Amino acid sequence: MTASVPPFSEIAVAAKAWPGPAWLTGARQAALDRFALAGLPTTRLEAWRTTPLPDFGTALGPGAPSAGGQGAAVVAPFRSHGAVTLVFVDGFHSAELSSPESEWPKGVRLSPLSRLLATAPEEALAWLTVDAAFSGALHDLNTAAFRDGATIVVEDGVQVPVELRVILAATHGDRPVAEHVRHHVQVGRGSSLRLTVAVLGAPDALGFINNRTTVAMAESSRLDLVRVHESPAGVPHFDALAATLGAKAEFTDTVLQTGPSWTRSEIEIALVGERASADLGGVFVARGNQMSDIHTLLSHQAPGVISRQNYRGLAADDARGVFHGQIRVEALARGADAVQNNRNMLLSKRAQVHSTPALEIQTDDVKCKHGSATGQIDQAQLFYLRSRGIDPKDATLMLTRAFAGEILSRVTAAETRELVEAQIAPSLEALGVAA
Amino acid sequence: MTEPLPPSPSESSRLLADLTSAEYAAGFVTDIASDAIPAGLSEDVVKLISAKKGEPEWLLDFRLRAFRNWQAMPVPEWARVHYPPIDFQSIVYYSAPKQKLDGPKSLAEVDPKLLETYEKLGVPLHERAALAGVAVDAVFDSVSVATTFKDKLHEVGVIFCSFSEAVREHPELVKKYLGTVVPYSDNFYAALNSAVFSDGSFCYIPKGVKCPMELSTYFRINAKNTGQFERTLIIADDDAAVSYLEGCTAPMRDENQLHAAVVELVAHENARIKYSTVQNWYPGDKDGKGGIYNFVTKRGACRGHNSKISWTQVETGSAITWKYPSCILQGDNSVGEFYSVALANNRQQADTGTKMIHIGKNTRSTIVSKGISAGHGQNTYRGLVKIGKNAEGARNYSQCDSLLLGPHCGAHTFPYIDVQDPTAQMEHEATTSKISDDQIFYFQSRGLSTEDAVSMIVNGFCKEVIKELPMEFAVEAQKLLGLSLEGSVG
Repeated sequence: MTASVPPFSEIAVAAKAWPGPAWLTGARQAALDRFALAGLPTTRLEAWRTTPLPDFGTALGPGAPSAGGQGAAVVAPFRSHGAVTLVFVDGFHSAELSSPESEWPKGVRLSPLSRLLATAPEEALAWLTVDAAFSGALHDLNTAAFRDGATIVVEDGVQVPVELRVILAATHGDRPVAEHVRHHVQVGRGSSLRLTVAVLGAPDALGFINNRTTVAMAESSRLDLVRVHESPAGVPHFDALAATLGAKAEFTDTVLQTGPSWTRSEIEIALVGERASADLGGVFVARGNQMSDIHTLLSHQAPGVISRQNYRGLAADDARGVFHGQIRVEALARGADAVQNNRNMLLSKRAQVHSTPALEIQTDDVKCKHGSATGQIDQAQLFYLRSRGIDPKDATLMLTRAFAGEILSRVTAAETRELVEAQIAPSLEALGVAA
Repeated sequence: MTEPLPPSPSESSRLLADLTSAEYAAGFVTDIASDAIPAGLSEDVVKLISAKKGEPEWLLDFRLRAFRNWQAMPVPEWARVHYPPIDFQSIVYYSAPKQKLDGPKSLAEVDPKLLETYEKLGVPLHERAALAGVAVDAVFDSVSVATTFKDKLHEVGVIFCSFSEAVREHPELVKKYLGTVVPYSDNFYAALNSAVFSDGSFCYIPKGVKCPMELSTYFRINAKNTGQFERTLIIADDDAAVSYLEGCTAPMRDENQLHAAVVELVAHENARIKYSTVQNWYPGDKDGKGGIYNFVTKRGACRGHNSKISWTQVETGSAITWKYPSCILQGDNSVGEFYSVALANNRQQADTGTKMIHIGKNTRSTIVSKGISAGHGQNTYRGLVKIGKNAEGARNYSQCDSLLLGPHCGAHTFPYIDVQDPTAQMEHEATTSKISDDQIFYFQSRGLSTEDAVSMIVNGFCKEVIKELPMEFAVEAQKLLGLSLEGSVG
């Protein structure tokens, strides 16, 4: 796979016409300059060693709001009465498919980023110009070319009673279109929020999704995040999440990477407040010639912080899975407690998994451990099921379902759980069985 | 008399300070005449080294190819170590102790000062060798000084000699194997070594021979501003077995000195090679001044079926260690092992680990790495386990534990695990811990001093690795660890 030269001059020209304050135009230009200098990442870069980029073709250029078309059908499963949804079709907010503003919960300021930039751009200044440890050409491209996204600000002391859902749908089937989307979530002091983010698409859609989210959590806040990454085969998906956790903030994230496309998810958590805690988990189900990549960086920067990571991977056919998990404990983080676990299952002769669990520790008063294991489906378990008359295909499905089930069980809200289970089921059924 | 009180925290930190600053016992300089060439590196220097050693054309060719390659290579910067750029033109690339023209015929003719040096270091070079039962090839600065027990080894057909001698006496073997495990284009320091290596050890164990004694090399850097570039080549033919020990020391100097060695091991069918290292190069003073830069490429190839290569290393010295003894498991059912204790105290930095490349079927590898960090030391484990497409039934187990002593040190783990075969099974585990007050209290309540407690805990932590060492090395390794760490309370 080769990455062709992206049409960044096209973006540069287009960006000049986009509305926005001067600082944003400046930030876009600076990002574009960095991008022009560095070019797209190649496998010669350590962070991309095992993850070759797909051929983006002409798909990196900016898109335009589309007429909707297949959007409604794509997001249908994720719209429900119990949740408030914010829908983006081909990178632009769709008021028609989103919940009406009358349903928006109290104490939460919800706004599409495009609207915020038009009405109160100074609110976005702080987090649109933030520096993250994970950076690079695709991050720069996002800054240069994003047009919309969700901004969610939960005021102090608000327990948001309903679940919020942010849904991205790719629908362009005629020509490839890039969606550079930028979200920001802020949870106030003592507040709590449940948020599900789904990246979906019509089966025949073409393009590229570059989805970037920043999260800022104030003292004693709580955020339960569930993310479904299921973009269609013709839409590679790059996802970056950067969260900053204040004192005693509690953050959970569960990512389900089940789509048939090239997908890379970068997760960067900074535990900056005392006794903040992060509980992360995820599973990828990779098949065909899919590439599934999860990169995490947990930076422990304050005393008494806790982190847990549990990531699993299933790779079948010619698929390639990558897990790169980094635990960093700074000298200030006395009493930090970090555990990371990665397990991968290879289901075919040609599937590959690359696992890199890394530790960087700068003080002695820590409890850190990581474990990583990769192997095939347990033959003894398979034999047990077959001896009870279950055919190999069903037996394999039972075992892969159980393997992924541990991650699904992290989703505690019943409705969301049913939704993600329904979402992952076809992917598991489609997995090839090792000969 | 009243009972002594247990040490107060301030007292234990004093103990820590006292003991972690323990004098480097091998830090003396031996004043003997040496034959050195001027500092700097060019094709002429490479040719001069080759000429001084009276080498054949093919070896000079190898050196020149390596040198040209090296010139085009960038200095590697990926390791987690920090040091000012090295000026490769200020290094003396050849320094040999001056000898009588015809060279020493027996140990009696070797410069007594040189023998005294080894005496101080505890190398059983002379008759003591008989008691220790270890055959030693000692490399002083750049050239091999003497090889003991040659006759006895000759009886069974084992060739154990200096590299230069091997080039003279057994050119066909050297030519056949040199650079086949670590090619001169492998990496920056391997290329540098291939261009300027001055001596080293060579060992060939013929078919079916179990080497009757442990073989050993002792490396010492003595002269100022010299780099040491030695090359070790060990070949175990079908059904052969050998255990090889390597030790290193250097005098205390304020400048940094470079040591860039290459070790190549080849194991044929059913052969066994066990390679043990106790590395105690001068680590620099407590502020990080001076010390050896130890940039070493070590690799073994398990070429034959059922062959086995086992690396054991205790790394206590060097200002910077950059070293990844690796195994290429080509033969079916071949086995690779890596046992390591790496200690980084004061300002020492160690970036060390292994690569296990599984190519053959049913290949197995085990990695046990124990890192100890104290003072401002930075210790990194970096390893790769690669299971190739046809390595059916391959198995790996890796364990990387870190022990941190004090709030200013660092421990890092970067394991790369690439699996391309579904029948492979691999597991990796790593933990990081400190010595807890509870553990110390437990020992104290049984009447043991704090320093004994720490020493026992550290020895317990390293036990899995130390037990892999041959006995006399195990004793030395424990002594070394004790010297630098007793009394350090976390």
